[in-house]
Amino acid sequence: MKRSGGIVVGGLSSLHDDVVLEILLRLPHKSVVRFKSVSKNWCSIIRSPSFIKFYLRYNPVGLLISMAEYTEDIDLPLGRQVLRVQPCFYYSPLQQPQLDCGKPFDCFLKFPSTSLKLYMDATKVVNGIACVFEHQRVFVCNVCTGEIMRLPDPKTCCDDNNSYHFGYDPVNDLYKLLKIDNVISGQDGMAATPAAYRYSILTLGRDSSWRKLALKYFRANNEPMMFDAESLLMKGTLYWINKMPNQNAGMISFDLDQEKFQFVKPPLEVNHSYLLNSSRLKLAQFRGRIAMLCTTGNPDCHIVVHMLEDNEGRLWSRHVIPFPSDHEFEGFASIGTSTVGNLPTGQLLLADNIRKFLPIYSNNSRESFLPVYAYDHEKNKLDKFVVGKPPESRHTSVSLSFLVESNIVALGDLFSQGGATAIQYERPRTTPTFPRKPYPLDSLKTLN
Amino acid sequence: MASKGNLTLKSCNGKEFIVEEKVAVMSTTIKNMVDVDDSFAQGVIPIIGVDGKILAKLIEYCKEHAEADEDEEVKSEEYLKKFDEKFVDELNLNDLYDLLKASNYLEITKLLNLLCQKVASMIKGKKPEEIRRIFNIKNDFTPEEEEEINRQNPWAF
Repeated sequence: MKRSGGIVVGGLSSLHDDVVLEILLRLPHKSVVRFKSVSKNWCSIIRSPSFIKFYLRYNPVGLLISMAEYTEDIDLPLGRQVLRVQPCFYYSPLQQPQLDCGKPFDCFLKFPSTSLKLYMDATKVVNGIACVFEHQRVFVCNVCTGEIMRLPDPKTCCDDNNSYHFGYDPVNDLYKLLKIDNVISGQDGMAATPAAYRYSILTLGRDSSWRKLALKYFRANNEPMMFDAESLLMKGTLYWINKMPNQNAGMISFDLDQEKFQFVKPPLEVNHSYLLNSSRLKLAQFRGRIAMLCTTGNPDCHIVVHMLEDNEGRLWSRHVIPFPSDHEFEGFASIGTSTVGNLPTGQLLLADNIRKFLPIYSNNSRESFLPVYAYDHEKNKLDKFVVGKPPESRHTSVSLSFLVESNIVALGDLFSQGGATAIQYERPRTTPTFPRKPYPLDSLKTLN
Repeated sequence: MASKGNLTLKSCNGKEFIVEEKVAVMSTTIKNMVDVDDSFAQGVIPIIGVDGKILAKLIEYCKEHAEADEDEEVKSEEYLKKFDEKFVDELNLNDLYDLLKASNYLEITKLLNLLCQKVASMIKGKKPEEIRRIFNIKNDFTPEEEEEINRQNPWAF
């Protein structure tokens, strides 16, 4: 800058792109997407990968409850009473425990009601997107914007004993949905009964129908195994606990790019008694690697973390997470502790006993806010946060997800090529809004 | 060198403002100038493109915040919050727009954040054509292009 020139505040006609970006970061998702059509310049700012990255960082993080709400209705013209089901997503930001005016869970998205055919459930939320499935139909939805699309119907196979696992492949920037059908399920539901599986997969936005996975190296018939119902997505790979007590017990992984399964042997300490009791064994991302979290079930317990150090699955390291000195938190000791994800800065998030999120199981004296702990491995310390009171309803099943990413990319842009069709939906009763405050953790830097 | 002294800022329409250095260096741009070249600290710093009215506003804001940084007891966080609210509420659209640009070029980060927040709360929920009018932006899409973009995101409307 020349001394003689002083400071030049230029460009009287238009705002600098930096300023436009700063303003856009502070807007709700819908406004941002709508403003793509303001001008080519605004459109290119909003579409730029760096803006999306900034936007995600600027928005706070929270917990998402997905569940089905049931309502009784009269089915006309027959006049019968039917049970209708509506999958819903509720969101609460992570809050500092000392706040006395915290936010409860807000309804983000409510599916159109359908008469109950079979139980509906939702996958984990990936980049703000989740899949919701019922007997013969599958949907994908953006939980923040409320957009819903119906995906190509899965090929029916052996009725009800199936599970869906949603993942993102960062190598090819693709979303994939894996369906696992349990062909010969155990007669008595015992974990020791061998099971045979069939796999099909759908690449969202690419495949117009489900592809059957030909598995040359990984056949259920030769390698007895039993998938845990819950999978964990990490860096383009899905992981399950293999509950089958045999030499392959431990972990199963599925590479979303290669579409290949692999067995990973567990550490010695994780023996059959853990594998048979899935509530005492969880998968989680720890220090950027896949890890098995074990609780002993004793009152004095802590969590033992076995972290996989190499990609071949040979070397496990052992870490211990202390028990929070907090009577409110009972989850670790027995069943249902949920590892709900990781903060953008890596800390492991542990939610309380999942039953506390079910109004059906809770009593009236329950606290309005539920604790969530973020474990910082560098300081070996648990930071306490709270989430709001869960919604009141008669649901019987919930799943918890951690929502870091409020995805502002329209599903139509992502998936319109693959035979997915947008469907009408009901808008939630309340319009969800993210608080516009920077995220409370001091370790998380907001923009500027 | 008058490091604890005053600086003179001059607007584009020739108005001069004598301000304490601690107030002026709320602007990172001015701070960098003064740090690099002492002679600025004694001379007059022209702020080209900012008129007297806007410069007075900038200085009013910086003065409050510089004083608050120095003495938290007199000007508490709560006081500042109220000051900020009043400050942005009293701005008309033109002033808001000019202040946005000025605080961006002068790198007064706190003020820029405050103004961006104000603008965001003003424009959220508005239609694209209203945004164009507010910011004086030309619609450079063809009708077909605009329709295509809107079609991709029906849920946002």
